[in-house]
Amino acid sequence: MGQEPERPVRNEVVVENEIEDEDDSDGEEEEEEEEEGDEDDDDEDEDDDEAMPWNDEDEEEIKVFKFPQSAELLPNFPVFRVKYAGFPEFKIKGRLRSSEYFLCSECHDGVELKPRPIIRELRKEHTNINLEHIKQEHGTEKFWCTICHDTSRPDYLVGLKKQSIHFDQSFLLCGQCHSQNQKDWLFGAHGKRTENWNGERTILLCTECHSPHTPALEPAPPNPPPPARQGQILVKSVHPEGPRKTWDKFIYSKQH
Amino acid sequence: MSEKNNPVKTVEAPENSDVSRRELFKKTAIAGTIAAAGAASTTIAASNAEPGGFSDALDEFFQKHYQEMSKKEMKKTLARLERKAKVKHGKQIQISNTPPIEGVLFGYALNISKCKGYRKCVDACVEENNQNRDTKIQYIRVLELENESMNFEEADHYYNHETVPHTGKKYFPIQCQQCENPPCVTACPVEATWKEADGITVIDYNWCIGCRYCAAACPYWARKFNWSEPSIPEEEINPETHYLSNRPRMRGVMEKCTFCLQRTRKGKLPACLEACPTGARVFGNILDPKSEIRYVLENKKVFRLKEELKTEPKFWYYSD
Amino acid sequence: MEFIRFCVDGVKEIFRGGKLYWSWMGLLTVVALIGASAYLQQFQQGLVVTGMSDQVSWGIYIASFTSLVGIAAAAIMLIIPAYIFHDMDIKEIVIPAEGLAIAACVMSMMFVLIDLGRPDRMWHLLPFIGRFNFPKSMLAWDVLVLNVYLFLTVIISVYLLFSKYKGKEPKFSIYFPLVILSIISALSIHTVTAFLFSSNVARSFWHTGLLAPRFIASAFSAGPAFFLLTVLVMRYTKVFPVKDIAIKRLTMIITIALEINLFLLLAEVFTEFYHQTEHSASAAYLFFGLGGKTALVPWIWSSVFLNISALVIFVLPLKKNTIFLTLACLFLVVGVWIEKGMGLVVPGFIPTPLGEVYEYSPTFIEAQISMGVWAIGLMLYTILAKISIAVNLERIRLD
Repeated sequence: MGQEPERPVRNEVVVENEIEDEDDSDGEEEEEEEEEGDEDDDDEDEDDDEAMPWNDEDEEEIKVFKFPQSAELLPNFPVFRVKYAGFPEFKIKGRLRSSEYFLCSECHDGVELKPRPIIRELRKEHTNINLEHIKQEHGTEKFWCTICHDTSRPDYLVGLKKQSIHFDQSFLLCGQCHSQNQKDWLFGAHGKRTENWNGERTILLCTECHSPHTPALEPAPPNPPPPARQGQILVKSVHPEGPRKTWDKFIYSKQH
Repeated sequence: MSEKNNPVKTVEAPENSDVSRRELFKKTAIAGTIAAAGAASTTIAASNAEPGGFSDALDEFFQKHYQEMSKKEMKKTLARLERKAKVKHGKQIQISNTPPIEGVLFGYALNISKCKGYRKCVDACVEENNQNRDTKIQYIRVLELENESMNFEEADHYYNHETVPHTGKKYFPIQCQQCENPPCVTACPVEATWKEADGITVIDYNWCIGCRYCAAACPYWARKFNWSEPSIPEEEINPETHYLSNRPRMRGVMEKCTFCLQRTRKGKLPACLEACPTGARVFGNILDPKSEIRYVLENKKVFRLKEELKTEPKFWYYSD
Repeated sequence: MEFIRFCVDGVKEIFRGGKLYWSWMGLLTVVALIGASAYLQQFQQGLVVTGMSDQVSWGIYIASFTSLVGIAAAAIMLIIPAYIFHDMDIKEIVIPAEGLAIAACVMSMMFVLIDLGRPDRMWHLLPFIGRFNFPKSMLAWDVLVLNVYLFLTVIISVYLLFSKYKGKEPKFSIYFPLVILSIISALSIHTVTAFLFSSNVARSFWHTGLLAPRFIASAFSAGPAFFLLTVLVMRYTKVFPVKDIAIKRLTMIITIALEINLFLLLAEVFTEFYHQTEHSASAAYLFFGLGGKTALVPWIWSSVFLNISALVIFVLPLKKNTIFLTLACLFLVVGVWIEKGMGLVVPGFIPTPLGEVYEYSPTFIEAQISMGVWAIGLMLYTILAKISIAVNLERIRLD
């Protein structure tokens, strides 16, 4: 946590939404992407060729957008695809909890400590990580750290097609499965806009609200209930005797 | 930023001889009215101890309707109100009168499948809008409903579980729906409440006579009354205020949610949205086809409360 | 000149009276003063001293206002037979009835005034000087028609009394148009007050077309009943020898209006309860309680009991007995006061539009203020009735 200053400032990632030249650029960008994928494949141990529902090759509706050249995030910036066009431009409010965040490469530098791409129970490190996300839906066999974390480039996430994804672009990773949520997020029906309703659009990244390992929001205590106005006492209304649930009412009326 | 994008136009009352003659007539008529004079003397007597002394009390008594004040009168009024707030609450506040932004109609959408009933919006609203802490005015009510029911009569307003969301329940926050056809505005006998150009129903707290007919007329229970003289701890006062919204109120007048127009007219988001930990709230300009709120309205299964009353609320509910 | 003498004589009459009169006035003054001091407290602290809340934002003040509007308009039930059909028996009691109308009108206005959060801003209601939301706001209409009715009633009673004072017959061409206008405005104060409630789509309990006819029917029974009560008191105390035939006429009017009122109430109750929808929650609360809360249940059932007992007495020959008649009038006045007031205004707010059942009961201060207003109204009525009786009996006249 103390070594923060060495890290480049990556608070804002601008995602350009290129929809005007969709037809022209489609083929071109696809090539680029494939190249990128090939490069990354070398270091991967896992095999992802099996048919997964998200490995959908039917990409007619796909619109292409990319990161601007100036972004200092990745040396070879990848091209990503989302299936939706026309969402308003946005800026991401990057990892606000940067103090909790230190680079994976500080330990997993490829020399001293290599990430081990073996499915196993973690005993010493990362024991605080509760992989609810996987356990609930898929079981632990197929899903493991390396589905999302890049073993070859520990400071990046990795997509299903082996694209490197920066932590501040996690919506690209999540959206591979949660495409409806990704769409809603891009258009503003999911997630949260900050600072203004007008002008430059800054939105919070998925991981601001959802812990990637345990994405469901935790139950929390509510703020206190509304008080009665000064000088009055609140008498809570007693609900009439009998069943509360609608179906209970129906069952009740059948019995009587 | 918003002001740059959308040129702000100040609405001015025309100043000509006709107006001043009418004013003169008004003043004489008022002075001649025994009832008014009697009432004036009581106000002045009651406000003798108040800041600014006699002349401020007199000015306050004869203060014109917000929509009738000239630019000069408005400036004077705002200065007087700031002065009064300083003495009453011990804090220097700014009262602005930012007009509506042209081409903007505010709309709000709330995702009920996201709302978890934390009530963070309720308290953020109270802090932002300088509500009376004595009578505990709150603009937002979060109802807890059975998952399968939409019957408000079976809703729990006072749920207090250890943690929310509670199993089998859904949560339904209700605040002013900013009707396009507001029954409260029609009801008011003195035009103290009206709908602004950006679709927000506002109240001139210095014109309201406190008859509470609007409270009876509102189908969403959005209007709250100052039963006692408002008191707010000095450190809790939000000094950024607007004349029509969160400036300190006085006893005996109505108040209501204004979608935080002191913030939203400057491009900022409402306090309830900022406080929402689940991102259930979407706010924006419904006239802008590229806005997020328009996306929600066009692509989600939205509904409005009590639509059968034809109040045309600009507050939508939707679920994933 | 003559008019000044009339006024002077009238004022003199106020200060003439026996022990009973002075103790009655003294009692009213004490109650009025208690009310005034309670009001001062409310004025200083705000309406927080009342039992009202954001949930139930109108209470006993508006309830009293609503039922008093009924009494105010009742005078026309005497004016119509007297001045349209020239019924001589009624004519002699018309002017005290006009006095009651004036007093009730003033009382209802006072009830609105004390209900305001900012009474110091009353001038905002003045047309041209303030901003009068006319014709949109029903409350603006109500202010208008109440003032017009009060003005017309004052003009008519002063004119009729003054004519009698001078010993002349009132001129038909002067009083007839005024009487017609007064009848129209009497009907409209009712209708508009009913519309004040029924125009609220937010409150399904009030949102019924039957409200205006119910208001008129209940007013035409409770108003004359209240007046009959005072007439009986006047006869008992021998200040005014009212003829039996006049009382008979009044009884008939009350009986018919009461029957119509109860029929309309029955129709309303049937519609609310046959299929109990969400919209009948207020009625359910009123008659049976809701969510374990039953504050209004004793009120409404006593009202039902009082109304029905009054009806029984009025339709049976029992009414010929003065004691029973007095009792029936008393029952009716209280019964309708509850039905129109606490039984109509308050349940409209319960449950709230968001389904919350939050109860209301008046505080002691509210009760004191209301009693104070009643005392002032009764004082005004006593004075007006006294003057009109004195003129009628030719105790004061121009000679």
